[in-house]
Amino acid sequence: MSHIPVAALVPLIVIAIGFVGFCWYDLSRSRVRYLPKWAWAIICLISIPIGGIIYLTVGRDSGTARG
Amino acid sequence: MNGTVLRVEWFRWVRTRRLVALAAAFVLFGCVSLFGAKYLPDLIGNSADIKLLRVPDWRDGLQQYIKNTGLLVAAVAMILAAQACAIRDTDPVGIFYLSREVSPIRLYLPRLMVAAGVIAAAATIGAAVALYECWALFGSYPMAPALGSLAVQAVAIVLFAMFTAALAARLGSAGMAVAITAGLYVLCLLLSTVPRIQPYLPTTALQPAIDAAGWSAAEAAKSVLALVIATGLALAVALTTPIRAIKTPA
Repeated sequence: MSHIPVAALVPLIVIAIGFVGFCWYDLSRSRVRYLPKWAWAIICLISIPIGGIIYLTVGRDSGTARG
Repeated sequence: MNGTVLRVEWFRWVRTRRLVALAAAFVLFGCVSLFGAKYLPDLIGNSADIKLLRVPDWRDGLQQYIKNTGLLVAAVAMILAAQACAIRDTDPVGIFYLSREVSPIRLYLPRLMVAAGVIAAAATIGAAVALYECWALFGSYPMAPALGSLAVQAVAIVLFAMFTAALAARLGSAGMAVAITAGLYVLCLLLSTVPRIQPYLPTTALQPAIDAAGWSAAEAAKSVLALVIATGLALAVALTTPIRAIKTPA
């Protein structure tokens, strides 16, 4: 693979890590629907950003968030 | 309508994490799409069966962002807007609102306004990230045609989401509104095979072509005209239909 510019790569890595970290933090504090927490955690990690977006829109039980 | 109502709607976007999901969709696709376009030759370069006709340039990068955003992210935006604007008469909160408010404008307008503002802001941030990544990956490029296509698409996404949100407000169901909009989208895709009507379809505005010559105002107006009319009608219906009281079994 040809040389990847750092200026292009760094924002992607920072944003992706931040988004997955946010999803995991939210997962630890919220109740979930349809799947167990560990399954949502894996989905958030292996499919960035679709997995996290699906968790936040569908998997999160927003009416019962704690904290 | 006062500022407090708008703040409440803003907090609903923040607390339900809809805001994060929407911003992440725009920003991450702003990065990933351009990487995909730039390094596709490296990924398939070892295949003996596939031969690339030319090396991707800035147009391919931004076109990939526009394709992904016009389909996947537009779908995310319309679902979130519909969720934010639908009030079900079976939910406790929905019963609270529908049994106390008589004005559809007071009930739905703040929701629609905040949803439109949030989606417009997210689309702007996503476009800014895509423009930056395009510069970082492909070098300098003409800004005017890139901005023109991204602006047409951002307007189309906001209108598309507002159409769904207005339907959701009128029907009281986000799922039904999303299903209707998805059906209309598929219909437009089928109609887009007819070259004469293709410039007038919302799908053209949602996925505008990146052209080095840029979009003229007439072309942009043609592509968003149908969306403007449909969204205007849906908003008029949602904001003028009287709110019915909670239905009770006879």
